[in-house]
Amino acid sequence: MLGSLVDGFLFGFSYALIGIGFTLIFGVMQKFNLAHGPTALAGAYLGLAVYRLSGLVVPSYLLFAVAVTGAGAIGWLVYQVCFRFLPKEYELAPLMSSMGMLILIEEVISHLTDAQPFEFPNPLLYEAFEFEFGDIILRHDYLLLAAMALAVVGMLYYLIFHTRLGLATRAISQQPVAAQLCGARIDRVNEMVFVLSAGIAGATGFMVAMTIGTIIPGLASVMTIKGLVVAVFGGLGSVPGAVIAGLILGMLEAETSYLFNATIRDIVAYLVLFAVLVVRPTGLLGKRSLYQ
Amino acid sequence: MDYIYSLVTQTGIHILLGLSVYTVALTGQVSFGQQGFYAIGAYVSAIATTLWGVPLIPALLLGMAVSTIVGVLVGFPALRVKGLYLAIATFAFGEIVRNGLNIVYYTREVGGAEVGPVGPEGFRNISNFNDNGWTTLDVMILVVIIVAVVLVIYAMLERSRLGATMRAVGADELAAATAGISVVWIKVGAFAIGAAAAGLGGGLYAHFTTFLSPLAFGLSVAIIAVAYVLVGGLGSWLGPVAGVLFFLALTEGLRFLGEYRMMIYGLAVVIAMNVRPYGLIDAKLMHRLKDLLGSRAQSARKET
Repeated sequence: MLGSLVDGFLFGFSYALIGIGFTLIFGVMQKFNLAHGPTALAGAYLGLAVYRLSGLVVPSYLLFAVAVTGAGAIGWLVYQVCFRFLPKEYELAPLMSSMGMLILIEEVISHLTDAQPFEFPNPLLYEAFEFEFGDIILRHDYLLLAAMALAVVGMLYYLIFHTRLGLATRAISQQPVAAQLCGARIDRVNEMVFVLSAGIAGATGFMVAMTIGTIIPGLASVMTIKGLVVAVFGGLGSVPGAVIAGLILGMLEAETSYLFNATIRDIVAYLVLFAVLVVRPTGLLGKRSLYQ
Repeated sequence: MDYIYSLVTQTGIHILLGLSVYTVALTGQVSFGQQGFYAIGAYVSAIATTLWGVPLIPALLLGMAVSTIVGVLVGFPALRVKGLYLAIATFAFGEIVRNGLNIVYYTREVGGAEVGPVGPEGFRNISNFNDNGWTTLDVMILVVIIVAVVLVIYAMLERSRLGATMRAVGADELAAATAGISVVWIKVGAFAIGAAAAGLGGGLYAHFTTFLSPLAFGLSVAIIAVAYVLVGGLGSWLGPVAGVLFFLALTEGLRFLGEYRMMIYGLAVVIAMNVRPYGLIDAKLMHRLKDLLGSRAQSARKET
């Protein structure tokens, strides 16, 4: 009971990380990028490809770097193809184009891997890599995931509040026209935020693949859904909201699947989401003024 | 020929699904939850015909009625939520329905066999068409007639005051409210009409496939239903029809590509949105068409 709660809490950081990706892009562009999940998964697959092609020798931290840069590049491509040339004020067109991209990336991965599940290297998956406190077992890979999530949040905090890019980002999310008049280049900032969130996606995809142990192409849409749910639950555009929502969702899912089964888990999770949105139409920490 | 008949039948059913998203979209909202109403319509009407022995048409109407009522019940709280938030809230509704179907067990012995929904195993032997000796052609004719009636109703709705009111709410809620429109009622009404269309489509789908599984009402249905409307365009009820035909042409026309088919499918959606971001039949095209038809009608009048 307590053990599954702790596991859920730690795994919730992966939900938080995916949600952050959606929330960042929404923050500057007020749009959803449905291709975010596939980008994360593609990063993980790129790491896996390097690992297998090199004869299983490349250490995991290098694979991690491959996943982050690869996903960043894919994110840049997604921005160019699905967002850049579409009308800025119409949020539904990129919703569809990134949906097309979701199908495309997922299909390319399925095709290259023959839709077979692949085992993912996890150097932290041995009994020596666990802390034990009574009947609570802390897995090292979960702890690493949590540490990485906190590091990402710290980095974002620094980027958003202490750099020129962050200043431009905040300015654009408040007043796009005024920000442009002050010399912020919207296209450039959007592009940077996109690559940043795709890089975070790659890191997330890698860590999720590592903790789960095997990856299949179908994970792409699962990640997109979880990310959307977390970002909306926490309030779009709010990074702390995404973290809180991710952790709540992680614990809720772990507890309900421990006590009942996967069906009840999903029903409860979506009921909670629905109820939260009805009571707070802009999520837990979302700003009312931003969207209404 | 049977292949063509079932293709037409499927197209008709999907037009109903597309129209259901379209109705909600007219009021400026995107719903990723219409597959929930589709599922409710399917299950209710299938239970009515197979378990209770209700004739087909009343059963379809019952499925429609139940999903309309659910639509109103869900619509009231859900429409407090707006824009992309609503897209996710409605998706949550759809997933609640789909997962709920996993725990629906309701079987009864009819004609020596146990029939009815069995949780995740689904609902087999919805044999109303078969029992009454309907061929694929008969089914197609029924669906075509129903869809034609629905399309005529939509064409009338669009020219009516209600249609204009719905578009006004979609264009600017605040302005519409200032003009004395009850925004809440229009939105809930649109939600209910959309739910009815989806419920009707679901009922036809159930009897057409004869087998329902909760798996058939997941994310992919939600996405394709929204895609019909956004790719087709919001300019008129022709939009979702064009969207359905676009995707039909893609899935059927790309069959020769084999396993590359879905890749090209995704790419085609990306390209379509880059070329026509407001959909194939957008408001601009409709204005142009109307101008064209209008001026022709005028010149015809002048000649006589």
